[in-house]
Amino acid sequence: MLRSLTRLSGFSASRIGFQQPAVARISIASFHMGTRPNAVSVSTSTATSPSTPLPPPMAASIPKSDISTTTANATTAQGTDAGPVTGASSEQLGGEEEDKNTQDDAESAASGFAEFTPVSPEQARSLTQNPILSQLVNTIMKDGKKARAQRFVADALLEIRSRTQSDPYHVILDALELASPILKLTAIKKGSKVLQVPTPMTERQRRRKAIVWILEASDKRKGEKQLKDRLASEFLAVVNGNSGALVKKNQLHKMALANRANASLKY
Amino acid sequence: MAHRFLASTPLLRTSLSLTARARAAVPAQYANYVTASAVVMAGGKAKKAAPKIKAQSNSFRKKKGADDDKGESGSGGATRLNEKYYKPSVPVKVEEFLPSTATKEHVGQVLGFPSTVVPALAQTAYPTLLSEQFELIKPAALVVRDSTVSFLEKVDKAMKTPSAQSRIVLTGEAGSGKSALLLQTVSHCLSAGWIVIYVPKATTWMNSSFAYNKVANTTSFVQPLLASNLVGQIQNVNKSILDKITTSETATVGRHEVEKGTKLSALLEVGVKDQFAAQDVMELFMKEIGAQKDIPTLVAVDEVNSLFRPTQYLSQDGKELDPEHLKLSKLFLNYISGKSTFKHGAIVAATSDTLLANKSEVLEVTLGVKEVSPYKRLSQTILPWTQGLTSVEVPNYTREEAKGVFDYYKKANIFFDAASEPLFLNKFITSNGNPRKFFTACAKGI
Repeated sequence: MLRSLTRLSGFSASRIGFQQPAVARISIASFHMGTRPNAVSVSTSTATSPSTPLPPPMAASIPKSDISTTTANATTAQGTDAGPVTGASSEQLGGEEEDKNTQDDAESAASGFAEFTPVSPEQARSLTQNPILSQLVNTIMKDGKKARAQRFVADALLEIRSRTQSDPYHVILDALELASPILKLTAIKKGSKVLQVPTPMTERQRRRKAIVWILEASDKRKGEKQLKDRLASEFLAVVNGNSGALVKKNQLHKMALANRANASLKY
Repeated sequence: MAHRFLASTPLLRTSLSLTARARAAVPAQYANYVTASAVVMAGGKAKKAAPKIKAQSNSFRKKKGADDDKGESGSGGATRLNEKYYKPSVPVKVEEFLPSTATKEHVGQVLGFPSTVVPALAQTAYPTLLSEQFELIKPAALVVRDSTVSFLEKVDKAMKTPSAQSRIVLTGEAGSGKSALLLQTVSHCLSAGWIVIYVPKATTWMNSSFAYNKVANTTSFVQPLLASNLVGQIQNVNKSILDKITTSETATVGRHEVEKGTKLSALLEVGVKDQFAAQDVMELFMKEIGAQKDIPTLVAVDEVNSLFRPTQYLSQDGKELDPEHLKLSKLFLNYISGKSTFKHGAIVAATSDTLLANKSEVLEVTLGVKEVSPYKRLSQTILPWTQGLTSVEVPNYTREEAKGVFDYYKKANIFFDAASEPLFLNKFITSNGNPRKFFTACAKGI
């Protein structure tokens, strides 16, 4: 964790105000295992595209599901870093279109829940089966009105597609990755003082934070009445590099840097 | 509430404070009216004026920039867009839907409207829900179905028969493709050189969205602007054909005299320029095209169920008017019911389930679509107009048609999953082949 914070500080000291690229995210696995992920490198190209895939959080052996193997295409990302686990999850987006590179597949597959719920290729973008989209739907849902929330997400995806002529699922993934913080600040009492301690978050917690920030930022949009338009605009704003959600993320990271000394405290 | 009012005034660009702008926006007659809030504001104004000015004028200036361009590129419009995701829209390549291609061999293929027909169709709006699909996928195209081929054969047979013998109403469940089939018929007849009168939304005639005036000494009402608009549309759609037909005798339309031998396009021009003569122009026009045998006429009315139920207009007694009391609707009802006829032509109409409030029980019972208790009293004023109509049911997609549409959606990048057989089956079965639900399933995944 300390090492990750020094990386974060060295980075942001020189590039304050820029987009934090994917490199700044250090996975929880490396924290637990005490190793540095070898795939992490500084990307100096467009600040808005995540570069390399994260290694999966838990390298447990997951039995390969029959469903994904029968309908998997030969072009899936089988040859990337962590073998069997990534393989099982990348097959959920198997049968991907021609021009998508393997990097995208592995990147989108490296989310927290993907390894544990094998999904057949035709349900890769399903609002009910895909873990990321269903988390988005559930976060938007209020009073148990799931169908309404699904409609919002589906309409927002269609709106993104009509504005960009590209796959909205990848836009959403990209936006969530960009907007998700890598840690949260937990307040603990040391004596009489309240200290803010940076603590890690699971993938799901990170993603939820990103979704909540994006939703809050979308509510501030004037001129677009319907949620689908606001949501689509907000996802695209994150991907283009100017959104309230990104501002909040950077603020949180700055505060974590300021309190990095507390990270070594035991409580 | 106040900010919305202020945003629309030119006061936005001044560097006045908010309070000064609010004061300036209020009409002069109310300016001297002192309210409690005005007194309080005056008291606090001295303290708060200085710091408030800068903050609020900045926020107003920024808002002006953000409203203009797209939200996602941010305020000021100078932010770059992520090139990875923004791609140019490429129209899908489709063949043209012509009388030669509307055949059994092409069933399952999606064909676009011919370039000669598209400007004519642009004169009137597309049906509501279809227009959303057409905005998403360009160019506008529809699939050739078994029902299309058989229906167009029927319409071609009607080319040489009076219209009173071919009065067809397309029925079917919601989203089954009635409006789409009607659009294909219109396109087919335009390509074949018919005179086409296409009314995409008959509901707008009945929902009191146009002004109406009572005709003296009768119980009828006339809608001048609506008639004028309709006359203009017909003229733009059929311009070249109408130059070939001339009036058979002298007539008076409103305040104008129309001589014998005037081209029909010139007759319609009279109705476009003078809306109060438009109703008479329309009636004379329909009589003239009905009297000639060279060019057949197609009258295509969508949302026809609104013509068979009480309108939203009120009479002088405050009662709802029936469609027969509106002269333009009565003119069309005469042709739909067979009381008037074209020597060569056909009347094709389609019902619409878009708004539940517009459903016509009388029409559904007469066509045999719905059954009610024999003791239920149906409107005796509307019932006579529904006699003699043939009902053609538009079914859901067959598997072949759905596969063709599925491949078309994939080509148009409506969905980005791999176009596999299991995915197709998933969409087809969950939507039961219903065209609208199939589109929603493919485009939205719900």
